[in-house]
Amino acid sequence: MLESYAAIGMMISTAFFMGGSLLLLGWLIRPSKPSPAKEQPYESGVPDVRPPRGRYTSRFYIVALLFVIFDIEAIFLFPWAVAFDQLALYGYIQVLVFISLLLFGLLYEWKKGALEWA
Amino acid sequence: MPLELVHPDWGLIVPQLIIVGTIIAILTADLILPRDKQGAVSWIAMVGLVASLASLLTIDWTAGDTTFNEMFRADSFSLFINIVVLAAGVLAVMISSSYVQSLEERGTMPMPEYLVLVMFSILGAMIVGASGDLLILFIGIEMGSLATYVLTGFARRRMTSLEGALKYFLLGSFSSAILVFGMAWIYGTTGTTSIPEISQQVGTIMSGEQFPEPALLLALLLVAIGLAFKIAAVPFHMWTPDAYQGAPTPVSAYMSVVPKVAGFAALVRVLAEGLGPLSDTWLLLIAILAIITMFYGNVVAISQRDVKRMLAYSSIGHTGYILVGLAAYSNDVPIDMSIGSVLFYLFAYTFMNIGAFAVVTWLQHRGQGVDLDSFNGLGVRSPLTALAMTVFMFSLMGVPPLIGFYAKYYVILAAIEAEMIWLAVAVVLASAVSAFFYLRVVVAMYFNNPEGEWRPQATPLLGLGLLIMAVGTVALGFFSGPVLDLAMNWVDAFEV
Amino acid sequence: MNELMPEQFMFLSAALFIIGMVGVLTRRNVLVIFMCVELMLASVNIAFVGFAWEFSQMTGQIFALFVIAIAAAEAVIGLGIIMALTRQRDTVDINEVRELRQ
Repeated sequence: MLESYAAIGMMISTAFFMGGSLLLLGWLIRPSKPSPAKEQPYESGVPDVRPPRGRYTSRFYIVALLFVIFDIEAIFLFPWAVAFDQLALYGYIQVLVFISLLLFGLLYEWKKGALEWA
Repeated sequence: MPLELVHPDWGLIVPQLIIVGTIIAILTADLILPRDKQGAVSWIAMVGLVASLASLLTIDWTAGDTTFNEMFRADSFSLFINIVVLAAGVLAVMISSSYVQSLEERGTMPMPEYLVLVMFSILGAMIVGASGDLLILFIGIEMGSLATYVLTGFARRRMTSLEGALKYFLLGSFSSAILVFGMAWIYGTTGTTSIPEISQQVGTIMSGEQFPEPALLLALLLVAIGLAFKIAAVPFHMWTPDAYQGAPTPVSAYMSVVPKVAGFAALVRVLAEGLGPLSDTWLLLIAILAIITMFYGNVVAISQRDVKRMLAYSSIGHTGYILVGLAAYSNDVPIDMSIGSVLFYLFAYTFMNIGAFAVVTWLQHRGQGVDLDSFNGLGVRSPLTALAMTVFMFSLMGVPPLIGFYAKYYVILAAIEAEMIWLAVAVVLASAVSAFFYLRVVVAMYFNNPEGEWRPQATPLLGLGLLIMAVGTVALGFFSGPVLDLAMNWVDAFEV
Repeated sequence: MNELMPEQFMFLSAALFIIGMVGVLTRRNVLVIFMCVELMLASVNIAFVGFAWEFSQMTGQIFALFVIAIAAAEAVIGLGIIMALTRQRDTVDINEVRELRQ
């Protein structure tokens, strides 16, 4: 039991040692002379005119939010799928009702223009 | 393992189904109707709410039938909650339709979306009242809360509205997490989420040697804290003043009633019914909460100049009074008054509190602000509105023979019946404190000179709503008997 | 050693819940507060599934499914409010959002 983890443990510690020692070595031997020009994101390029974290258009957020809603509603289909055989036709109709309600929601936001990209 | 599919009794959930149908109808109308005709959807909402109220008559509530594997119950308690919530819904739609269409930067608040959110919140409260299972209870509470968060921030161009919504949302979701963690521990100690079965299991645990089981006490505490946030009991009230002040005024009116009713329904379902055998433990907790809440709310309300904020603190005070009714509960000898007085208070509170906010809305339609000075000289400018506001203020204060007096009277009776004289005395003292700020509004209306610009405007539906609430506050005070009888039927509901 | 004990679920869930709660109470960034609330809800799910496993029942698992769905709905509404707020003013610091009287 424990022995099988020993190999993994050694693997992990070796990985950390390798990575760590290389970083340490580099930090020890490299010259460090910072200057304002070097600090820029693009050292030899055009000076940047606005903050790097620019504002995204809010459509990205709206689409992401809509995705989260519809994505999560799918979890109610999993229990149904597992018990599909036992639930038979009655369960199938119930799920159809559920999905048609979701479809109505989708139609609503489509018609409202939430999915328009332009 | 073959599954036994139980076909649910759809007849028992007709009131809720009508609300769902109304929501779909409003959304469809939103898609079909042109933008300038969307005011018509408020009639769809009214018809739906009234139809739902009427459909309450089709169910035999005394039988205590259950459906969906006992998750959903049609008993007298849920009947009363349904009545209160639907009545509050009708009144809220009446006072808000003109506000949503013409105030707050005209056109930024779409009427159909507003109504859909109101209807969802109503549906959530109805589900909480009818819940026989922690799962249904939680879903109902969340459905109501989520819709109310959005309603609070509905004036989305106004920073204060969004700020109120943000605070309400952050504390509300925090409290939901605490509540559902408590539910997880109730499930962990009893092995069931069905409320009647929890009651049995807790009774068994109590009779065993391992008393009181720490996990159960933890669960009790978590659930009580989670729900105390929802009903705005001190010290879990921090969101209340900001949310009420920031929200559009009809929304403040609405959210001071329906989410509170849902919160109290959940408290009664979980504490009094599910954890009833533990009542010795939580009764003192609720009593202390009641005292702190009523005094804090009423004392802080004195220093408020903003009327919406003052009414927010006053609603915190009323939460304290209602909690007294719950604190009078006893598991051994059923005290009819206890939960009955809670229900009656919620009913009375619906009329007088929505009424008070409706008068503020009425003033806003006429170009007035929401601070106390806006009420100056209202007695000269509009004697009828001033009279209505006086009725609401006196009723909130508890002056006989208005409905607010009877509500407090029954709560005090319940406390005396439960031999908690000190609690009864506290209610009287807190009411005396509250007279100070309620009377100040009345004084401003009748003894100060009118100031500021006055823009007359016709708001027929709002006026009708005000009339109904003012008449209801007076008339139901005189004829409180039938309502009280209905409220007392909760005793049948709990004999599982 | 191989056996999963119910207590392990409980400790994990309680630890996550407390981490989330402390986060809500101490952080000032709205988004971080919100993530902490989600963490608390996740801990609730662990508790439910753990209890369901202990009792060999389905109830707890079903409850967890509903908590997930509700948490998602809450997330969408919360982010919607935060989005509307950042459009009005470019901040997610809760202490800078104070126009209402304290």
